[in-house]
Parts: sequence; C-alpha cells; structure tokens
Amino acid sequence: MNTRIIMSSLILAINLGCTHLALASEGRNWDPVASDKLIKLPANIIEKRIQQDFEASPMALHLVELEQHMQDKLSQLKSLRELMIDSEGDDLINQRFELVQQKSEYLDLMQETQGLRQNALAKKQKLYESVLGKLRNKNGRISQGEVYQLQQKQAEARQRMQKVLAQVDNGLMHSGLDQRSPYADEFAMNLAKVEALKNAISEHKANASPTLGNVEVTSEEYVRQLLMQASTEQSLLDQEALMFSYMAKLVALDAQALEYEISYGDEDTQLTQRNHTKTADVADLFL
Amino acid sequence: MKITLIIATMASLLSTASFANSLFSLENLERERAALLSAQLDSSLDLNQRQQKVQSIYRRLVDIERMVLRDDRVTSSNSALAQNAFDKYELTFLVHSSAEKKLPPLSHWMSELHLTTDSILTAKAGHR
Repeated sequence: MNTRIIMSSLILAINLGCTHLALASEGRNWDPVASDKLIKLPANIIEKRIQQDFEASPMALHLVELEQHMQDKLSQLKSLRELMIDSEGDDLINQRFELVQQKSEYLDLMQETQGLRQNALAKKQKLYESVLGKLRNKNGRISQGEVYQLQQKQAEARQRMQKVLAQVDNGLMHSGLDQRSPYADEFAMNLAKVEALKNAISEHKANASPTLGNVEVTSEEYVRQLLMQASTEQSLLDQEALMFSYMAKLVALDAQALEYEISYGDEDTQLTQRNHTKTADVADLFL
Repeated sequence: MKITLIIATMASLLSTASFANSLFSLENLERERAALLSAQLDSSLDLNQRQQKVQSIYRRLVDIERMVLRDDRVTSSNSALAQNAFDKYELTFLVHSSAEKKLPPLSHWMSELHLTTDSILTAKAGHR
C-alpha cells in the first residue's frame, strides 16, 4: 500500500515538476542592462562583457551547481543500472523503484537547468536587441546631427582644396614668393609622421573593427550576428526541451508500469481462477 | 587601477583641445580675407604699395585657409560662423577657389557677388 502511495506521488511529482521548479529558480536571477557604458565598448568586447557579467551572476553560479548535481546523479544512475543486472525478486523491484526515483530527480535538475538557460537566453536576446536599438539611434543621431553635416562639408571642402594645392603653390612661386612659409614647411615635415601615427592607430588591435569570419564588419552588423546566434541557441534549446519532455514521459510510464506490476504482478503472472463447483458436475447426484 | 588611471590621463590629454577657442583659425581667416579685400579696394595705396600688401596677405591667406580646412575644432561646434563659412566655400576660401577658376582673388570675389563692370558703372549713388 505504502509503495503504491509513493509511486503515485512520484508520478504526480514528475507531472508537476514545472510549477515546482519555477518557484525554485526564484532569487537566482540575472538582470543585465544595456547601459551607455556598454554601448561605448567595441562590439566584440560587448559580447565578452555580457558573457562575463552572466558568468558572475547568481543564475550562472546556480547553473554550475546544477550541472555538478546532474553529473553526480548520472553516475548514481549508471551504478544502479549495473547493480540491477545481477539482482532479482524484491531486490530488483526496489532497485527499479530507486532507478525511477533517481531518473525523476535527474529530470527535475534537468528541467531547472533548461528553465534557467531559456531565461538567460531570453534576457541575452532582449539585451542584444536593446544594444542594437541604441547603436542605431546613436548612428542615426550622428548622421542627422548638424555637427556631422558640418564635418561632412569640411571634408568635402578639404578634398576640393587638395586638388588646387599645387596650383596655388605655383602661383606663389610666380609672384616671387618662392620661399615657403614656416607653417607650410613645418606642416610638410610633420605630415609623414602624422600619417605614420594615423596608420599605427588604425592598425592598433584596440581600434580594430569586429570581424566575422575574417571580414571586418560594423558594430551593428556584429550585434545582428549575435542576435542570430541567440536565435540558433533558442531553437536548439527548444529541441532539447522536447527531448526532455519525452524523457519525462518515459519515466512517468516506467513509474506507472512499476506501480501496476507491484499491484497486479508482471505480464507473465497468470490469473488464478478460483475453483468453483460446476453445476453439471453435481447434477448426477440429483438423478 | 593603474590602467584606469592611464586611460583617464590619456582621455584628458585628448580633450585639452576643447579648451581652446574652436573658431580661432576661422576668425583669423575672416580677418585676413577682409584685410585682403580692403587692401585691394584701398584707393589711398599706389600700385606698388597695394601689390606688396596684397602679396603678403595672400601668402598668409594660403596658409590660413589650409589651416581652417585641416582644423577639426572648427566643425566641432555647430556655430553659425562655421556653418556660413562652409556653405559659401567660394567666398570663404577665396584663394583656393579663385585658383580653381583661374581668376585673381578680387575678380573671383566680385563675380561671386555678381559685381560686374557694367553693373558698377550703371549703379547710382544714393541713400538706401
């Protein structure tokens, strides 16, 4: 009777696992924010910073703990299965019961892990979307800003001037001003060094654009790629969740089968028909 | 901690430029251009004096126009002076734009303002 109650409660526990685990994961949160400080970082560092922040969160620490528990539970399951090979009778029934219970506990841990990973991924997606939105706003603001427009005009004017530099210098020579001004002299001397310094800056790794497959991309493109990766992870997690639900179903069926077996015996047990007196057998006595 | 301090120091070094008057070079350009036009139009100067004066201002203008075009501080503030200067390239960068048109600066300036010999000769002196 006791075993039946335990089995029924085990089945119920497997079915209600979801609600229980949702409550259990409370207080182990990760609340990332797309701060202005984060947006200012290079895109590839944004990804690392977010990952670092997640790894230091109570949620990630709990995930590590859960992973450890799952590994322990797996080794218990394996040793139990090995033990069952040589067992029989009541010992076997007890071990099968133990196995179903261990599987159920393993699934509990797995479900909690799944929930946390889904939650973390959803938050990461939201964060990347927020980063992308802020990057777009920033670029839009810059390109529409009056200062930006003015800088563009200056760049155009500079290009225009560049075309007539030699002509103006020749004009000066023709006017008898063949000596260059101190500004022009110094500027020409510094120019090569300025170019070398600019090259060093553009080649500096801290100033490098993020790359995807060795191709330089903009920050916006990089974050879009991160969102794509998050979608891929999401899809794989969904698939894992489906596998998990099938595993839970199998454990529930195992538990049910065990319950039936304890109550009604196994498939080989024959129904014992009570002998009762057949009327035809006693009919002769009345003749 | 040390790295943060270095970055903060570098950032402060990079931002020292913002303390200077961002329109300094443009204001100098405006003054020199005005001086060039004044010298060109100054009837008190004889031909030799004018040529000498104009040449020295022209020389300074060549440098200062280049300085303004290379000076990022000018466009960092969204001032009306800078806006106006870049909207009217032909008039602001008189020396270089006149070289493009292969005209002397004064002729280029007058043609940009639509001041032709005919329009000057037909003009009448009077109160506005």
